[in-house]
Amino acid sequence: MDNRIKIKIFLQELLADYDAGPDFGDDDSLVTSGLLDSQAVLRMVVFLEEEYGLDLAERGFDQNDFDSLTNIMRLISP
Amino acid sequence: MPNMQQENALDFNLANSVHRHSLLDPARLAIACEGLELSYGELADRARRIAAALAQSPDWGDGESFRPRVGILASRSIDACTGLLGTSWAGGTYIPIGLKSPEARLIAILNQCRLSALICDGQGAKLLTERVLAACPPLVLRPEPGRHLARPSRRLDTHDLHDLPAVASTTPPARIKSTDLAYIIFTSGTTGLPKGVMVPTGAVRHYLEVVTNLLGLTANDRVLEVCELSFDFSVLDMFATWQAGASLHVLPANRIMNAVKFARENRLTVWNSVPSLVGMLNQIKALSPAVLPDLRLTVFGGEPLPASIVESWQQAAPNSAVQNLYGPTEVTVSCMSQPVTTPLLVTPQRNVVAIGSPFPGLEAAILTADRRCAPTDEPGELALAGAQLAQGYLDADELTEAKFPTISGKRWYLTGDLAYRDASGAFHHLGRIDNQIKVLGNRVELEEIDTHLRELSRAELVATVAWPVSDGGARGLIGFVAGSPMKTEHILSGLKLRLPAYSVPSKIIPIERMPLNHNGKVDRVALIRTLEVVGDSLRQWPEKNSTPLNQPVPQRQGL
Repeated sequence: MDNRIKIKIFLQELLADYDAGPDFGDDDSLVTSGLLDSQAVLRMVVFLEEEYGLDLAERGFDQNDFDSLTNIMRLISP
Repeated sequence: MPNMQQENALDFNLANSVHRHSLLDPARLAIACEGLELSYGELADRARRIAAALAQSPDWGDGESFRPRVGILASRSIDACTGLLGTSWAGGTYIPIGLKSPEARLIAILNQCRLSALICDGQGAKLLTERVLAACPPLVLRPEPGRHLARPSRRLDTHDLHDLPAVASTTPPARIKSTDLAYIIFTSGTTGLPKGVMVPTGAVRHYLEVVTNLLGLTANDRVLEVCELSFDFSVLDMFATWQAGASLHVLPANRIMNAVKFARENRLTVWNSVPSLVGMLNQIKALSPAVLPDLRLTVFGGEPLPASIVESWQQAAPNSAVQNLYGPTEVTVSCMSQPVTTPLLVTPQRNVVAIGSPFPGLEAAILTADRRCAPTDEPGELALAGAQLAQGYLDADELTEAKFPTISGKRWYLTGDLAYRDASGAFHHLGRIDNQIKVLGNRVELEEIDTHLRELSRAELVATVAWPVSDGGARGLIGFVAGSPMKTEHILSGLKLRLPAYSVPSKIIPIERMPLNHNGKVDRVALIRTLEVVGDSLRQWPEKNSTPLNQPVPQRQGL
């Protein structure tokens, strides 16, 4: 499956857990906007580590990297 | 220069330090938030304008018979800080109102507090619905009038917070008696309705003197602010910083996960937060070794400090001294301290750092059920006396009398916390007395179960609740773990090895998100509500450990 679609589905599942609808734009803020919280970001971190070998120890954590689909795509394919 | 040497008991004002630095060193940085920086001169100018606008309002009164109250519907913003500084400057009492309050709660607080004015920041102004406006005091100060106002009312006099008339740059803060209230902060009681804790200026003055001494802040410090205004740790952040002439760096709530990045980029030297924030940062892998080399001091407070948090923090901030502060809002922010030392002084039952010893000018005692001093090592209710005691609860004389009794001629505050004093004289916190439950005649501490649950589940946020409760008796315990990588069977079998059978929850429920109250602490009441909703299916799940437990709950100890 295309990475973008796979991640989008993952984010939609997250949003559903936060009682938010599945429609969002690639650049929409999901975290800073308050839709998702730190525990959702934690789940993103674990997912991206397992699926794409993301290594945060190397690059350092920045909330902005997880804020939108576009930013997440940039994070896993620099 | 007014008010400099003679800050006696009659004329202390929380705003004095900002006034003083605005005259001595006006260009020095006082506060930074979202790209905006204010010097002491600019901060004082904004506060003086707000003070003048408040004092000219017809509802303000003479300031002698009654201290006017101002609601601050704002948090973690420059407008929140100038709002409460302006209120103090004018001689008023400030009352933070949480931005997460639902409309009905907002209206209830507005009605209860009999405010003379309300000050909002941009976030707060969005909450001014028609119904909220109807409950507002006659004067409302907020940024950009009209933009967020649902329907302007003729009754209301609204002003743009950022466009108030200029005043003389030397106007000093009003003189306030030490018994007059500096602020009223609402705390969420675990049992239900929030209580407004009335804190007099003299208590805050004592607190600031002690804490400034303890922490040794200097004008070169750069201090993190991540607390909501409605959480009284913000009093430490703001006023200890400004007392020292240091700068406060405010991180808004929606960027909290970037706290480490923020502290690094702004070269912060002092970090004040609840320990849970470190737990969260650790989880999202924001902490790496020596990621915060500039930090020289960390102050933890608001909840127990686990030894595991100290360990990860010391790796991330190797140059930082760490202080663990304890204190209820009723004794002015914090009243006991324990420095992190090697070896660490821990409370073995919970593996958290001891709460240490009382501040100078304060007394701590462990009371038995008949209100005598408990012997060394024996648990009882922690009671506090001295200069930082609050005046009591707003409009709740009976509750005030019950929680602030006079014992042997001295006024005490009964914390509701279970604690003991060890042989060295250090105090140890065991949990809330309310969280003590009798199960089959055995005393169970929910916090103690939580400690093991946390270790076994490797989740930062866990909670144990007594459920179901019927006929006043606990029939079982349920454990919640948020985001645990471990299987619940594994956690349960681990608990069975560590705890007596009556302390092992009958069920561990993994959840995606732990409900937190407005101070960021685990909301046990919300968990119980969830169980009430989904409960029937749970009741039928056969579990090995579901022997009916018929003892009354909660079992209050004495008093």
